[in-house]
Amino acid sequence: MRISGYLKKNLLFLDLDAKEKTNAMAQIVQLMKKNKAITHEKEFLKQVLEREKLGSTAIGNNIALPHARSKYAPNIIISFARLTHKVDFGIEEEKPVQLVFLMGTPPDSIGEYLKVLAQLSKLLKEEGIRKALLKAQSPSDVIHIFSDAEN
Amino acid sequence: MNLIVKSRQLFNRYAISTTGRLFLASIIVGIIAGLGAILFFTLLSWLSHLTFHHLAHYFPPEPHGETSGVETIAGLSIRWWIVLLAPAIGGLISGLLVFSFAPEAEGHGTDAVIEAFHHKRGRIRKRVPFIKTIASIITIGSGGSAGREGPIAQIGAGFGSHLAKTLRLSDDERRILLIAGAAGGIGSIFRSPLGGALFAVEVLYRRDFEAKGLIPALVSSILAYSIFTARFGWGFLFKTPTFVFNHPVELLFYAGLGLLCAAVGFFYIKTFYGLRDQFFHRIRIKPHFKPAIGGLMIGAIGVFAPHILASGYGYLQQAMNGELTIQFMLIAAFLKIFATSFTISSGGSGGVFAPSLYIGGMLGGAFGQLAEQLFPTMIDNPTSFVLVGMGAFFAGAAKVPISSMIMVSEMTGGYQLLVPMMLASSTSYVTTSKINLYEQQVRRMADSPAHLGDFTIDVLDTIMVEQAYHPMSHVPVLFEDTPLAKFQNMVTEHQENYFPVVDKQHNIVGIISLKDVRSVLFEDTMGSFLIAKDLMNKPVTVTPAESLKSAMKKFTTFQYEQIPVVHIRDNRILLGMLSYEDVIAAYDHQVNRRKLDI
Repeated sequence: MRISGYLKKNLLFLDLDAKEKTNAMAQIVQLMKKNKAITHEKEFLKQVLEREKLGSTAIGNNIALPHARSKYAPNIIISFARLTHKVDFGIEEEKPVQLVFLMGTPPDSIGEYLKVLAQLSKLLKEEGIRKALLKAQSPSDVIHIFSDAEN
Repeated sequence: MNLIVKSRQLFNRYAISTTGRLFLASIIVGIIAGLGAILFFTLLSWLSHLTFHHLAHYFPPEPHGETSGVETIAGLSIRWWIVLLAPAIGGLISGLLVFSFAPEAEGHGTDAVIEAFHHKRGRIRKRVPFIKTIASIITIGSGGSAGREGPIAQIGAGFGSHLAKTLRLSDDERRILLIAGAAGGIGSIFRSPLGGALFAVEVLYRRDFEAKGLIPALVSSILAYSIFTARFGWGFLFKTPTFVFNHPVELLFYAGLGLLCAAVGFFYIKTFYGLRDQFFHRIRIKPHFKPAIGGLMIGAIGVFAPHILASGYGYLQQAMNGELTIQFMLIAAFLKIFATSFTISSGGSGGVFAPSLYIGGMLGGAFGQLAEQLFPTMIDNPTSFVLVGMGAFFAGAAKVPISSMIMVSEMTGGYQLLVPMMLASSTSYVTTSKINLYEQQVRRMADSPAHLGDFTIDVLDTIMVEQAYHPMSHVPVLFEDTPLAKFQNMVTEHQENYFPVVDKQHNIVGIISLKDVRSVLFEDTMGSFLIAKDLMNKPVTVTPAESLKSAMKKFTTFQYEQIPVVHIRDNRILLGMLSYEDVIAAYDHQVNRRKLDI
């Protein structure tokens, strides 16, 4: 299980300018659709937002992992966006977020998808990775950060 | 090819229900079985005529219903060397044919049909009926002691099986058409339409009937019989005087005959299979040549007692006419046992029904005459014992008490002896319960792979989910936004492996299986942001009004050990959970209750 294996350069967006969390997620989903990672933009976004409404996916350290199990995701997809400034992902309390990993998975692949989520959240606990992500200059840098960590 | 596809489409369109399909298909099977019987009988008569009349100059008596019209030519003496060698040559050709092209079909044909029914999903290899039929014609036509029921059952059953394959019917339907085919073949060639149909459904089991096959068997048998008799005449195979049963005290003697048939039947079966396993199987030559050895042995008997050759129906007719002595009939019965064993146990082809009739008839004839000599005032007509012996002997040996009586009655054209036959057949049947002539017979439907699962499923079909499931009060439920951290606590508190998930309105939206989520369950990094919705799968549900049989199918396809039970009118309302163990427990309970009922 290697996160670097799931990352694709055209789904890694550095310096995305978003006003708030819904706008951040909408922009990422739009880019995902543009890069043909998902098959339906509006429906997929709706599912991501619905999930977010049930419980915040912010995991602390300025990171959020919004996700949806959706028939519009043909396989397990991880997109990443670094926001130019932090937005609030909290529901009841404030949760500032700058690094967003937005994920999609087909409805039935639960086992593999949970393993990917576990691995990703484990890696993001390391301060070195978080700092490197904030400094990354290009999508290739992002993939290197993960592959180095996983080696 | 196109024609087959088109007729298959037409057939499936107009015969939507299984019953309709089988009814129509049985008509076709009956027609072909009848035509097959005509061809088989014609070829067999021709070869017998050639061997016996032309070559051997031997003119055996013929049964009343099958006279060839050939007159005995005076002045010609029997060529004994032909009688000696013909069965051996026949055995050689039939052995080469069977063991080169269809070695799996060794032995008597009806057993092969029974085996196909139970163990081969009703499938018969296309070439088997052809090879076995030709081999049987050669075996019987050259003087081998065997009958027509085996090969004709294979012809009919083989066509039934092939038709089912062409029409792409199910395994169950193929088995039924197999029965229908065998019924048509036997019903026609013995001119016994009801007996043939009953035989085909009875011979599969020692203690049961394949009731589902009865109507298709009757339909096929009616057609096959009508076609066959339209060609060869509507008479009966044997002509008998009008018997009357009006001395109840005679029943004692008939019961005695039943016991005698049982004892001799035991000896017959032991000799038949003993010779095969202890003698012919041990000879160290290729199986292709063994029927020739058997043929030579029967030829050697035939030189001294030609009446044991072939079917011997003419002699049986003489016994019915009261023309034979006690001594002749007793010797004939025992010689026939060996002659049949030599012919078939060596690997030759042919059926065991005709020889059984011969043995039983001769035994009955001898018994009847002896009884009359000892108790002249109590016995009305000693030849009636010939008929009763025929039925009773085969009833016990082949475990077919009902069809055996009906067949003998139909072959002789009268039901006057039904009551004595019922007694003798039952006596013979119950006293020979441990042995049987058809090795492939199974005891009951429950012992047949053809009905594997029927009985378990039957019980499950009678229990409803309502009687077996756990209602809500015992079921731990999650909301879709329940955080993983809270779920972790629930898992430690409950024994369950499956947790239903509901939305805010308490409608079921999913189910979590611990097996699916085990890898992340206790990851501390996940507890903060995963919720039940992330962990659940879409549920397959059952309603309280469904049977456990239907639930069982869902367990198998879903591969979960628990299924949510939902309201019959609104499948979002969760009522409880049904587990695999609940089904097993309910099954167990029901089976025990049924046992107590009995």
